[in-house]
Amino acid sequence: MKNTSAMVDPTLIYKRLLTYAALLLLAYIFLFPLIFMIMSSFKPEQQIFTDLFSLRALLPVGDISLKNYISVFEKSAIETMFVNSMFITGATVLLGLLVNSLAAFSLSRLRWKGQKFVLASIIALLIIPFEAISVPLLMLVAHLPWIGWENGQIILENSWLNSLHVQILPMVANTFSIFLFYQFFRDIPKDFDEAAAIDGATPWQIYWKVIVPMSGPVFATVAILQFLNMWNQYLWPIMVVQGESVRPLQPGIQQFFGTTTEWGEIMAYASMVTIPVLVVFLLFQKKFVRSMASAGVKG
Amino acid sequence: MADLKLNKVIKRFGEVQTIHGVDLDIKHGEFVVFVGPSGCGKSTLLRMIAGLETISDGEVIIDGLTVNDVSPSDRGIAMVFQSYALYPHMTVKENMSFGLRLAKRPKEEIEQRVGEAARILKLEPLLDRLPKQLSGGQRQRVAIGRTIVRNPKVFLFDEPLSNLDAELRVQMRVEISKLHEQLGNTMVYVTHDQVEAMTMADKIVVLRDGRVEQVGAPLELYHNPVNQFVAGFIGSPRMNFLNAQVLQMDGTKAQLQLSGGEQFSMTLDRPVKVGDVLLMGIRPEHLLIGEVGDVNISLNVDVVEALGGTTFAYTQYAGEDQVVVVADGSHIIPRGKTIEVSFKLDHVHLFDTSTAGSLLQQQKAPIVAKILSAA
Repeated sequence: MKNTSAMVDPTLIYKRLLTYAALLLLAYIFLFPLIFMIMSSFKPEQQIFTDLFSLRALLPVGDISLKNYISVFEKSAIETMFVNSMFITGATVLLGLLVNSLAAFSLSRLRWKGQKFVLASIIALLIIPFEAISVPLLMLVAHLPWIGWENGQIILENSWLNSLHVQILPMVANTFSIFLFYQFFRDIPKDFDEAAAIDGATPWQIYWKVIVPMSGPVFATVAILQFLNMWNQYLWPIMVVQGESVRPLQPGIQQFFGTTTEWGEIMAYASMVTIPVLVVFLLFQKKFVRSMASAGVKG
Repeated sequence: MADLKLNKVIKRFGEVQTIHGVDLDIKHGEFVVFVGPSGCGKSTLLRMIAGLETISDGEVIIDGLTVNDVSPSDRGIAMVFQSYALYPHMTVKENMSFGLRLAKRPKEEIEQRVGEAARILKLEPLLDRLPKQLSGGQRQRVAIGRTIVRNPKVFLFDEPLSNLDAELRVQMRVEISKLHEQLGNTMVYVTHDQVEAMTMADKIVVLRDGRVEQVGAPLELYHNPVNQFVAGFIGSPRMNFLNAQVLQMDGTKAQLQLSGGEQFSMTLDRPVKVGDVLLMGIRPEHLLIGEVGDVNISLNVDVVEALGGTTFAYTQYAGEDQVVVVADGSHIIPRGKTIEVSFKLDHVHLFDTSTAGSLLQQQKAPIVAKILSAA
């Protein structure tokens, strides 16, 4: 009598091999540009081209050094632009978490006139790309007044252009973030709000002391998405910023292209721009995936 | 402790009216249970008392003060929710002290009040745990503890035992009753379970479709229901209903005949027409096997459930009506056979089929008064 438990269906093995092969191919396609960029950032240009069509392009072999990174710091104001990017991204993310979550809280937990219309408008705005409103927005911020501070004195500016706040404030309110918060908050039972109301909590206290602590996953998701969005911002900073002192990293790379023809240096610049994003995503990926899955939202 | 009055309270959701002019008078210290089928408005009424729903018309008065426009936290109420509503990110102690911390009470006062509530409910070993580390019964006790800490005038319970298993429900029922004895506060308790209502209440309010059907002590509702709905809702298993035709009237004394031909006479509250068909109600536990009551009937046994101490028999009467009999477990009731049962006239209920109202309210009132005074 044959021992059937020891027999494995050959079709199953082929299917599994095929699946793994496809996954490896996909992994190679996704990872190849990243690994190539990082490895090339440590190599001189000649070696990059020599290694280009071989496996060496993906390996830290040959003349490896930090020369390209040093050149980037010498040829550009990358440290200033890095600080600008960190500040703009950080401020937008923090303000965005507060503003968008409050909007979603108001829409999902409170009752007021016009609520349905506002919610429908926000959902409708989801389909409008930023590019469609960028020019009218530019015209608006070009004429908006701003109260600033310079040399210990309050000054009145008649435009927002060439500033850090023009890159932050118009980006704070985000319809997709509001939508994500709304979907998450809607699933939190209203009993918590009611119990807190009986305990004497105001709507703000219900938001801050009850809802926010229960909403870790969605806050992480929105933070990551807004971080990625702001860190990679290119169009808007190009439109509103000319001065180097307030320029972030992404437009800076365009400028850097003009100052060098060394691909190793360009790769070094690109690596420095990319690595913070990778770190943030790797740190928060579990919460991000969990939140996206539970909110039933893709992409 | 406080009185609670509802004066012609009405609730509308848009065009739909769900509560129709409810009047209630709850004395201080009473344990009142709102009971009724799903959708009858009992939770809506409770939420209006709590201030979680607006009042479309009428007044809610707590301790002499109309609270229609008073916020929930200022009404002197505390509420236990069906879902417990324990904040998952706070420990038991933090859950219980949340209201006091919001009110910026002194730390010593918070410690004292939380400690006292924890002692009453035996929660002291659990104070540093999170809700997810507690069992269902423990969570329910924490939810109750949170209300005790508020020192309210009126406690409100919204189906607090629904999420517990049968055994725990019995245990918690006893604990809540003991708590009421200990604290003496006015308590309003909502449930769809008439067993909870019967065992816990000083007064039961039976609701249907947003209207109060009857208000009274549990035994009053059991012995003298005002209509067919209350008669069928109170008591488990529910009351049996059989048709009884009026053969003869002599003043208010009616000669009645059941479908199977059995006849008996009863004095009604008012005369009815000869030929009218009334609805006779008899509780399963009042159908006696092997004893001679006032009226004997024959039943064909379909299904028997022997629970040991009690036996339930599901039978047919006169080929049509299903009749449930509850007998002592010592009786052996044979399946598929015919049994003779009897009932006493004192246990009979009669209802007008057009209005569903009881025709024996006044007749039974003295009997019920006697039972209540002895209880």
